Amino acid sequence: MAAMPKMIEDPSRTQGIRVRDPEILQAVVKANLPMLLRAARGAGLSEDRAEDVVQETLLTFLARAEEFDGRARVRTWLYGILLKKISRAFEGVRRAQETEEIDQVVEARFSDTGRWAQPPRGPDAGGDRERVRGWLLECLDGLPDRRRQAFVLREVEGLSTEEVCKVLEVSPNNLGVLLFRARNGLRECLETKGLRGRHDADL
Amino acid sequence: MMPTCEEIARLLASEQLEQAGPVRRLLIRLHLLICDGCGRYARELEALGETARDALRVPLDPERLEALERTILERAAREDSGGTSGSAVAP
Repeated sequence: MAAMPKMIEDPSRTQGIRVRDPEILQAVVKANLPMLLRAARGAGLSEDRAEDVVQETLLTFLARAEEFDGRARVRTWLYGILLKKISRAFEGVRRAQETEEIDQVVEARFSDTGRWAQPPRGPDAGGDRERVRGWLLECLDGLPDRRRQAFVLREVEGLSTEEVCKVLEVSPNNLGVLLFRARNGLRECLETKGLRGRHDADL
Repeated sequence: MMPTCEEIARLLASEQLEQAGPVRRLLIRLHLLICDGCGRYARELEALGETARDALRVPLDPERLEALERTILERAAREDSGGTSGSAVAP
């Protein structure tokens, strides 16, 4: 006999969603709206565009509520729908940028024996917090979509690695590569901005 | 073999430390205590997450949120009753 698929979402909530209990659907909308908006903003959408895409995401979910099977959390489903809509919104606009430049940049920081040749400067080397926050947003914007999505879901939204894998439909190993590239891309970008900032201040 | 800085940086940034065995993990933890470069790298990764949370978790306007919630529920209700299928919720 095949094993029963494991329910991850709360069974009574799952049932409520499937039968379209208005109160439960309303609660789902209310509970997930802020997270979805943040994720959409984090993906680089303007406030208005983010609201549009989030609205479409929740409407898609509500229209297909009967199909919800509880094998993933509601928010995992919602993020999945959201990211598909966002990548459609960006189609052709954003560069795909599937280069692996960053891997070489990281490699160059180590000697042949795997020791640091150019060690990192440490988190406090960048300047004041406000400025670093601004830089980080710029650096995030420069990351290829998948890397940025992986990083934001994991670090800002606090999803588990398993959940991020489900949302992005990638294996744990691929997620590792995405996170590795995202974090190092951001690190290098921030370091460059920090160095430049310091030189400017010296002038 | 002792873990190298490069290996440790890779495991930290990809969050795959658990894939190393228990002995290796212990060696890595020891290495992090004594290696300046790796320690700074680990702290930078942590700071990255913190800064991103700071920068992106901006408070949302509650009125705007409420308005958006209302719009979504109204549109959903309209699309429901507009459908011809019998699966729509009974009022």
